[in-house]
Amino acid sequence: MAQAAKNLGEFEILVLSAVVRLGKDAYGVRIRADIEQTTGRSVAVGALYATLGRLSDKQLVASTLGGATDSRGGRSKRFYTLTNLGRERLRSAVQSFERMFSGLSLE
Amino acid sequence: MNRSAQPPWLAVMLIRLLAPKVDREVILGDLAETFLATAEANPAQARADYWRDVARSAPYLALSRVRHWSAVRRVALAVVGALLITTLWDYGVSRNTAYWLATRTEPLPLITIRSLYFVLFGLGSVLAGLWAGALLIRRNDSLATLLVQRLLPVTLLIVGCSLALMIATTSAAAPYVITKTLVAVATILLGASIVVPRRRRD
Repeated sequence: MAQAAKNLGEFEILVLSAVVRLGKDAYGVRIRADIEQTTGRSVAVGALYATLGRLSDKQLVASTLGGATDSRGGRSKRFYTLTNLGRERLRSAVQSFERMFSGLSLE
Repeated sequence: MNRSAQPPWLAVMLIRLLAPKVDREVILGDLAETFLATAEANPAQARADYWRDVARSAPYLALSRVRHWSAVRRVALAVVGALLITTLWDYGVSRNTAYWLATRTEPLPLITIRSLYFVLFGLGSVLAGLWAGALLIRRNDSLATLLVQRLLPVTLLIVGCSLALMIATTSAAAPYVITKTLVAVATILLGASIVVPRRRRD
């Protein structure tokens, strides 16, 4: 039960993966575009921030505010990075998927 | 900057109202960045995309905001929300359907109509219970996601179509019909905007 509570949801895994892929450029617009390009699914900005907030509550991501820019109407970006716990949990999720898919034949 | 190069002010207000304070300016910044990237080439498309994004995001943001409230405020909202949903569902779906069935040229037996009414009323109560649960159980992410992604648009579409059905099948005073038509159209549009995905531009 404790393990089940620790499991990451599908969208949480997508968000964490995007944050890792984007590195220092991981902020809302880029994370969203990355998920849309890699999965082909449309992401609502509200869904993304609700998930990032949840991941932040679980201490899986940390965030810092950047400077304000004109291209954003004078508003700041918030950049996200994975915490050590987040990296550990994502690694564990990826390993689970790898174990699940190994030897799987769909032909 | 002309007006068409600005995000729709009403949509901006909606985000200000619904988004948690901690994310408000960042979300508005993200929306502005996406808007400005499209607005130069096609301002109308940029405004439409902005509205669609806000409509799809509103339930997530509202739920996210409420889940940061104190337990007392969440319980109060859960109770009021459950009562509101039950009442709206009762008037919008259960009674409408029962009335429509009873006023057909060949009405169904009364016992059948009553049974159907109670089944529909029960469904509304289950829905209200799920909403209350999502508000009260702070950690239940899958229930909240299920509600926002699936049940909310379905509920809105059912209530909207039911109102439209009632308007089409009854004769009533003009203000009453106009009000119900507006509510039906708004409900259907809101429900559809959550389930219809945003157009991707590669």
